[in-house]
Amino acid sequence: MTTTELKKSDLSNSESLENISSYLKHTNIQNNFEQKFESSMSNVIQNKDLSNLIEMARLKYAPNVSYFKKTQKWLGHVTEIKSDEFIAELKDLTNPGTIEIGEFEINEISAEDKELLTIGSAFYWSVGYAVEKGQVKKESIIRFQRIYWEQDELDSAFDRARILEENLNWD
Amino acid sequence: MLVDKVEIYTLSLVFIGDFNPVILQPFWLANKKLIREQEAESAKIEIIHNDIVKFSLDWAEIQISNSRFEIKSSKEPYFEAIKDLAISIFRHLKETPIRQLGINHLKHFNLNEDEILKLERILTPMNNWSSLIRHPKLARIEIVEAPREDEFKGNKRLAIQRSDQLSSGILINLNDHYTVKESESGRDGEIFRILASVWESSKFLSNEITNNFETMYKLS
Repeated sequence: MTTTELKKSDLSNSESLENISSYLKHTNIQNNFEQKFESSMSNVIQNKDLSNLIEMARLKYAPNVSYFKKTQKWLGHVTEIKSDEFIAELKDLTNPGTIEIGEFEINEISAEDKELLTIGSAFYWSVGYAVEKGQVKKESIIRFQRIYWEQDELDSAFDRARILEENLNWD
Repeated sequence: MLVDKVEIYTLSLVFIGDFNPVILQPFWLANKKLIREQEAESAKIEIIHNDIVKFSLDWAEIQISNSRFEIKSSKEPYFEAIKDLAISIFRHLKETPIRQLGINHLKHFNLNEDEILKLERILTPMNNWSSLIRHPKLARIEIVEAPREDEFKGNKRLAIQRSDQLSSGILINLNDHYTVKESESGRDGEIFRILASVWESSKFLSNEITNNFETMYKLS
């Protein structure tokens, strides 16, 4: 039996309810909602209320991972910092090829990432739908890049930048 | 559109080499400023042992044994962050020999039974088996390019099977595998130069595979 086969008429039959209860209880239900499950099941049996059972079924059949879907991502480089916002050039990582300019509130950055906010610093900005136990919510995430650069890599990057600058033709 | 039916996308980076698992703990990562302090504090530690370390952050799972390091996430906003984290860890531990890299793109598509059966028929004609096996269904199929035919050493392996995460769906798993050259020791960051250079093309290949399924699906 699966929960999707349940009909309201099943609720008149206490034997069916016991079967449902037994089925759900013995099929890998996570410990942390055992108690909630028990109380909801009694509510279903006593009040013939399907809504709790549907919620339990949603939890039961939701994928066992937290994930994101339909994500759009950008790589940002900070170009200007104001008192309570910053401006960045955004490279589209989902559909590469476009560069946009975005303005962000500094309050959107997590406290520990604020120390990484400097001109030129890189961050990832994503919008998408976060899914946890079947619940979906729209989220916007800013995460500053945390890459460890070795000194020789930094030196060679500065060298490349210097050569590029020297060879710039302003005419 | 099949591409709109991707429900869960997990990216897993697997490195094969010689590791000292016990070094790699959440507070070591925070101390090196590779993750936030608060992330280290709230990390869920499953095991810390000389031979194996396993823990998860809110956005990634990390498992290290003596010969294998894996970092994975099902949260697409953090895919670049797991790449950055892996590269940065081994820039700190630069003497660690790493000889192989697997970039695994696991995409779970939310499909109904009819759509799954149609895809299965496209991949292999089940009628060929119906006289021998009643109601034949596809369990798993693998398609390989071994050795790979680009400039790198390694192989590409594509596996298609029913999803173990969704109540109804399929999993398409691309294992994009790279090995350092025989003349290389793996101690000089070779595998990370490969990772940096193939990162975009590996994602592109995974998307193209989805598009290819889309085309086959429409044509059938």
